[in-house]
Amino acid sequence: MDTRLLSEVVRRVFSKPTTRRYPKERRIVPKDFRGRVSWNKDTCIFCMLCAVNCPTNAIRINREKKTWSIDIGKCIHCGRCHDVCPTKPKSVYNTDKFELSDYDKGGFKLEFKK
Amino acid sequence: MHEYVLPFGPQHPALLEPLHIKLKVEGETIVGSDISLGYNHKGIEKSFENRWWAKGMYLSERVCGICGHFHTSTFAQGIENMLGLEVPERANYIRVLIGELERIHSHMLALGVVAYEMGLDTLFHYIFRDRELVMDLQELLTGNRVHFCMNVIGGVRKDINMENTRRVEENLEKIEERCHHYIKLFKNDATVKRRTQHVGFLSKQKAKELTPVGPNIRASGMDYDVRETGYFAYKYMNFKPITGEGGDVLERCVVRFKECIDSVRMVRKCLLEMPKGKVKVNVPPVVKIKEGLETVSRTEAPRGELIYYLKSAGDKPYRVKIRTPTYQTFHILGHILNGYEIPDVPVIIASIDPCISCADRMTVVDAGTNNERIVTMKEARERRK
Amino acid sequence: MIEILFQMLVFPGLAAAFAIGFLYQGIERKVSAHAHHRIGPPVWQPFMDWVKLMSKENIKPKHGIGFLMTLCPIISFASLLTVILFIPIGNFVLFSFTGSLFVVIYFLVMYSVFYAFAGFASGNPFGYVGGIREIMQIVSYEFPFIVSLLTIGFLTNFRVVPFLSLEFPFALFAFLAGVLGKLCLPPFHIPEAEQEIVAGHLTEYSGPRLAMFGLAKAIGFWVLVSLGAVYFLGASSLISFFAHSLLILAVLIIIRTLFARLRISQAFRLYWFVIGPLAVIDLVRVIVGFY
Repeated sequence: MDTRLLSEVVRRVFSKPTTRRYPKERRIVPKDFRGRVSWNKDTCIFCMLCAVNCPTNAIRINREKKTWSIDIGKCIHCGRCHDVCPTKPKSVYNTDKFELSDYDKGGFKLEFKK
Repeated sequence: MHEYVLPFGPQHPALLEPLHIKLKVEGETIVGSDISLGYNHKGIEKSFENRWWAKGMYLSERVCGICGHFHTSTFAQGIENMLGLEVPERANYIRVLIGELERIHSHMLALGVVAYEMGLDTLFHYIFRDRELVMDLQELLTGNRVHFCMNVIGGVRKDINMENTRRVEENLEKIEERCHHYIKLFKNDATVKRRTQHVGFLSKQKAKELTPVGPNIRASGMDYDVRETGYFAYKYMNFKPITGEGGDVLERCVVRFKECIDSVRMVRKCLLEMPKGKVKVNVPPVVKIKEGLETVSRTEAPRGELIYYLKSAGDKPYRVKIRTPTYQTFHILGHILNGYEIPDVPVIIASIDPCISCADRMTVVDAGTNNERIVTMKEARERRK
Repeated sequence: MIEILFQMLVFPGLAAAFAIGFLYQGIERKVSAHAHHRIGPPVWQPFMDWVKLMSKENIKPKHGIGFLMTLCPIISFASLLTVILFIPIGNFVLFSFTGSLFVVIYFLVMYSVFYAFAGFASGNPFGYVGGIREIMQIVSYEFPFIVSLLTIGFLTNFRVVPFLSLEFPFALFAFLAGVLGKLCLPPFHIPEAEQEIVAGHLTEYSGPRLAMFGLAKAIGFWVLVSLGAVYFLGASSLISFFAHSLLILAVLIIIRTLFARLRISQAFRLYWFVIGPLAVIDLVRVIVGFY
């Protein structure tokens, strides 16, 4: 009679569950985590490379009005915009924000102004 | 004996993805089956034709959730062949490292699903808890738990941070110990043995005829594994395919666990022996390949051999054809289900590890006569005219 | 008169069966969730499920027999509720006479038979397979279950009274195996096999009908655990009754987390050729007088 599972089950019943009680306990994401995209407003030169290279066309940049907008519904968090940015330090980067849900689809189109 | 037809799917609590099997049953014994796929068709092969090569990399990752890295590796390998690019050695090692980590997490998912289909929720939760160790490693090294986006044309997009080596080694030790524990459990536990031994038997002779790929054919005694050809950095890994003789569900599960243990060995070897150097070759954002050039690229995904056929039309592909391993393996169900009982059906289906997102073809149903047939791409193009 | 009504409707009758049955089911879900590393639903979740299901629409499938589909849950629920009146809990017992054991056995079997019949009445191939499996399961586990009850019956004049039966471990073992079969707990959760036949014989049931089956199963927990506590562990006062009930419940929960599902042919063989003979050994011991 194999008792491997039995000893583990009895041990587990009396120990703490491994479920994290979100939202009371939040998770710390690692350093390279690819969250929501954001721009550094001072170093951006408006070359539009990030908008052209986005695989899903989620980024729209307006040179005259100096606005950047990202459509969170379309962004796939791949990080390609960060790779092709020519400035040093890079002007577009992934933050660690991952709580991006909204009650209304219009809330997915975020816009930043200089 | 009364014969009736039991429909299995497309909506079923046991299935993770929609598929349809009409089982012909007598009492509780299966005497025949009729399989049809096509519920998950996404039109990805057509979407490739509108995008640049570099953007196509991200699309190919999303063909499948749990073998995404292998899809991008194969795609990148094909493009690099066509361009004649030489990828740096460090990038090859990193591709193998991330690939083997993905193999571990994919196999553990498949094994957890087999445990669930047997009715043992406890083992399902334990295997998935251990799978979280691998997911944490993947997030630490690449930034995301699935869909890593690590491959670019010409190498890997960023380097592995060697400060993380200690954490990687801790988790790998735990995973290896748990895999040994699970092998003993599957072989010795009373009810698990009763549900998996001598079920879904595929003999070596039949496996040669039907040619499934991946651990399914290796569990029937044939050692067919694309990693033996030594692409990327596998030539330095001392790799030997892992085979088993049983041919039943138990043997397939044990072969998968043994492959996990072997993957742990390979990850450790990669971390130790990785040469220093660059991780990618400089490639312009819009890659131009000579028109009409074609290539075939193969790798060993967790489920078996994955083949990409690419034909170029300048800066975009003219045609991308993906032959996923599940498409090659799925038809053996028509043979290994016969003679077993209804309770064995979900266990056998889960043991061949189907990934229906990968294997999709278009089916035309004639509403007038209720006949079904599969349409080839040529016929669909002609109908559109 | 007032006392009879109190026992039938409040304790240990309708209200207690309702509350404590759902409580036992909730405890079972919570403890097995902790065994799986997770937190699990709150303890009153089965009650909330019942309330939600009672408020839903009653759908009649096209090939089902509506009248029978409504009758089966009601008879299952009613027969189990009747059993509780024969079991002495502390000082409460409504009916206790020589031969009351046979009435208990009869009503317990009636619950299972109508549970199986529900599958056939729904007109669905999954219901058909589930119904056949439930009947096969009844044929399998009733043998050791009834033999174990008769073993103790010989010693108590076939009357349900508190009796401590630790000299007959095989009878207790066969009783627990029978309880696992009757309540469809692993390794015998075969008729409602979610992975194979959607929901088995309950596939076409929704709304109030499914709620009544859920209530019947919860009352089944209360009845069978009480029967075990009184008849095999000899609980005579209220405190010892609840202590022994929780002990039996703990054993059932631990067994429940350990085993995979058996095929119906394997379950049949296990009951008839392994558990059954063990129960018969104890029965023969009692009849011959060797204890």
